[in-house]
Amino acid sequence: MYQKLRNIHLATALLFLPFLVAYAVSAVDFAHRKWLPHPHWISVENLKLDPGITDARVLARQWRGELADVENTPGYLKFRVNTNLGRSRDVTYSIATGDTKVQTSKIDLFTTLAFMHIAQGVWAYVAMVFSIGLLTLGATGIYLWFKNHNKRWIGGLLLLTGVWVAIGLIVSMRWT
Amino acid sequence: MWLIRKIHTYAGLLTFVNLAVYGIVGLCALYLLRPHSQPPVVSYQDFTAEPNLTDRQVAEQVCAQLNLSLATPVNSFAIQHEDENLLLDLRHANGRHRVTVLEKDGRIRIEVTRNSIWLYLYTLHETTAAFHSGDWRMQLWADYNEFAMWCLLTMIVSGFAMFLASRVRSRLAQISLAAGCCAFAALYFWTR
Repeated sequence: MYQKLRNIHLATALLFLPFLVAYAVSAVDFAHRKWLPHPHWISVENLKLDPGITDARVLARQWRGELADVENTPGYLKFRVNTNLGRSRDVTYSIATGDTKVQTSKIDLFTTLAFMHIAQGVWAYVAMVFSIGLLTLGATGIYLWFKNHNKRWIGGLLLLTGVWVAIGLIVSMRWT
Repeated sequence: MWLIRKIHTYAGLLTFVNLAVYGIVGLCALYLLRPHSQPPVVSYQDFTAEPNLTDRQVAEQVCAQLNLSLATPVNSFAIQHEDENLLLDLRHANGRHRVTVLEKDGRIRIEVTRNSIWLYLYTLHETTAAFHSGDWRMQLWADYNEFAMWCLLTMIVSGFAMFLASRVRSRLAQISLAAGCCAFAALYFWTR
């Protein structure tokens, strides 16, 4: 049993390691917004698409993401496509000629990690699966500590202190 | 390695509840995206604003009367005006109190929207030391949660160090790490 749970603890931790790092680093970033740099870059690309398209939804299929801010000015279609991880594309399309200008806004690593932390869609499911992993790590970790340490009083004291303080605060603030 | 193992274990034990809160909040991620607060409950209470008080001082008096220390210090954006009455939009971990000070009537109208337990935990999970609360319990939680956040990072680093030191040849570990990295990379390139 001990060996099996030790393997589960190890395998779960390593399976979720990139996600753990992403969530932990982005948590620090959320807590201390000024500590880490958040540069962003803009690149411009000119494309030649088929002329005569009047529906932004048809054009937007070329890029993955959520269609937003559709603007129908005479002769032009303007819209934005936002991805789950914070990248956005501002598209200006000439209906007469098909000339298309795509302005892509890219964000840095830390901002990308922050978007992973809060993004909807597939990343919300990732958060759910990751959370099962986190809870598994907690449960197996407690078991491994309990079985592995002959002198349990220090760990027991820390665990009880943490549980008492945290649960006490959670309960008292909820039912005030 | 003995010291690293101790740090890893004790960091986890000391912040076990916080990590459980992170896990529970993550499990509710999809549920939390939908609006699901309970409908507001309206009630009235007698209230007399003393003369020559500023709006902020009245807001603090209202918070004291309603025992809303979690909503303090009162943010500037919470102080509004509606039909010549002072309107206080007090948001806190347990939900929202929209308080209209009806000075002519000598009372306040209180509209209470209570957060679900999951939204409450969500608020707690994102509260760290950068947050300053007028409630000592929330401030203690914020500091403790900040500590838990750093403990999580410490556990990641110490756990990986233990893996490198003693289990790096384990086939199970190698497969798990490779699978995790591939899944992360695939999700990143798919959604970026």
